[in-house]
Amino acid sequence: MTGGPVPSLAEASRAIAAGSLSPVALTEAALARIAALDTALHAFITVAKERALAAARAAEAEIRAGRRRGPLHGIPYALKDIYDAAGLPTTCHSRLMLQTMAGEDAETTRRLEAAGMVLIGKLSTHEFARGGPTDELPFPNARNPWDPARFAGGSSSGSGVAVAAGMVGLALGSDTAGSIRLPASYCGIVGLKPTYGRVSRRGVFPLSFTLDHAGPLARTVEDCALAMQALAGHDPLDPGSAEEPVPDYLAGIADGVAGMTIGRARAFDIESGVAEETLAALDAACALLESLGARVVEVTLPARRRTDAVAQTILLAEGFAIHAEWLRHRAAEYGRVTRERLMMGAFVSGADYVQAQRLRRLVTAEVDAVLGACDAILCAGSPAAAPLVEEVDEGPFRKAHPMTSAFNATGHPAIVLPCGFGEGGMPLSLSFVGAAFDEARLFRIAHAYERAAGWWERRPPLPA
Amino acid sequence: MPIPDPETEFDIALARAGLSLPPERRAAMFEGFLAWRVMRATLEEPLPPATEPAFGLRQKRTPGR
Repeated sequence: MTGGPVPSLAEASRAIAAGSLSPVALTEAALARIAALDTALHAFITVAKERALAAARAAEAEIRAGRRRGPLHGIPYALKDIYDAAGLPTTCHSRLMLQTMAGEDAETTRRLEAAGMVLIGKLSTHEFARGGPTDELPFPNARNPWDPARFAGGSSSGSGVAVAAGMVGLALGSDTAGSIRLPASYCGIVGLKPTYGRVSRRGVFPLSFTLDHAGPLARTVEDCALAMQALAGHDPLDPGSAEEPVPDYLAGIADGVAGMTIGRARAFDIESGVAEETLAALDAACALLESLGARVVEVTLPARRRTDAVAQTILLAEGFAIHAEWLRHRAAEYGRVTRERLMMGAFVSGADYVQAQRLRRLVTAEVDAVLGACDAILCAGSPAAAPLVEEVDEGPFRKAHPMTSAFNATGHPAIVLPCGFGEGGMPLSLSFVGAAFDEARLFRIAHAYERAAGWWERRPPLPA
Repeated sequence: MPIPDPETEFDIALARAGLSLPPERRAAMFEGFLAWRVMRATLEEPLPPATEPAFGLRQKRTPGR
């Protein structure tokens, strides 16, 4: 291994299985990459170097002894710093959490550790997954590796940056309104918001109980599927966790899209203000999918004003419920953006919250009906390429809410991946949205598109 | 009882929640509050009384596929 980007999960897994790559060498390469780049990119809050090397040596010994646990064994990963990992701080990128130390692993951390993965560190986030990219916080905010002047997306900003910069093959993020999918979109990688209830949130600091989703960011769709094989499953100690069987996510991933129907949500994109260059990239993606044997039809999703009202009302109310005491007594310790956005929850009444949950059930049924007639919905992953950091709306209540939040409201799984590059060479993205608990079909569709389009092979302009 | 004007509603909500704002941020927060009031109107979609909020904390498999 050299000082270049680490391989994808699938590439590393195959090399470790073949004996041509050792977990220790891979972990050293990841640490070297972090050391070389992170003073500029600020993806990491904590680098757990000694812990990672010890875990890599243990993995290497197990594998050499013929006890390889599975495809993820010996591969480094990193966690958004709202996930607990026993013995490491969980700062939530906030002054309020600087003295915390996790006593046990989040359920997701436990699953990746059981799969033999090597935790290499904790990643930058917007404060409590809620603030903005210029808040004055105890750690610097992550910078987009394609152009440091541009927004890396949030709130799982460090997760997107670490994967895009080739520091790790897998990072976990959380997604309450788009916080996995937007960093993936702006950093030119793949991000999955699984179905609500598919992946445990236990041990992940909450923002909004009924909108929060935990999930992976990785370089390829196959990597997301590999990670989900370890992450998915029922957790009786997470009240939102679903008792649904977990399929083999890799079994049919290369089966292609011939005979499938893709629902193109053009009106939803236009209502969301999607830029011309992104619309053109989406049209090209549709043509490519048709050339692969899929049928593309137009579909109509619930109006954005309805999904926004549902998602924002619930997010404001649930986030306020979590933070109210600190907002009363320790308000000055929050960054300005986080504090004001959380305080907005004071304006939501009980009736507003119940009405949002009633409307949520209706819009979920409307999306279910669309997915009853197609295999996946295709829409933009974000309205445009990453904006300049100084152009990001950091007001208490955004003027435009993330289009991604529609599927936090409904709970449907959604995967984002690159679909081209726009002016200035910044990544553009599309999203496939699928039926609840049918991530396997999303992986199959997204993988077919990814391999045919080839955008995933481009890397940010960083040292090789 | 008369419906309070927006500024009074804003102050009552903050007071009830026990929150205080620095004077220099009041205007920005009030602007956010007004934008939220516009969004809140969308929630007033007429719904039959039996339309309950039983989204459930457990997502259900999408029917029909």
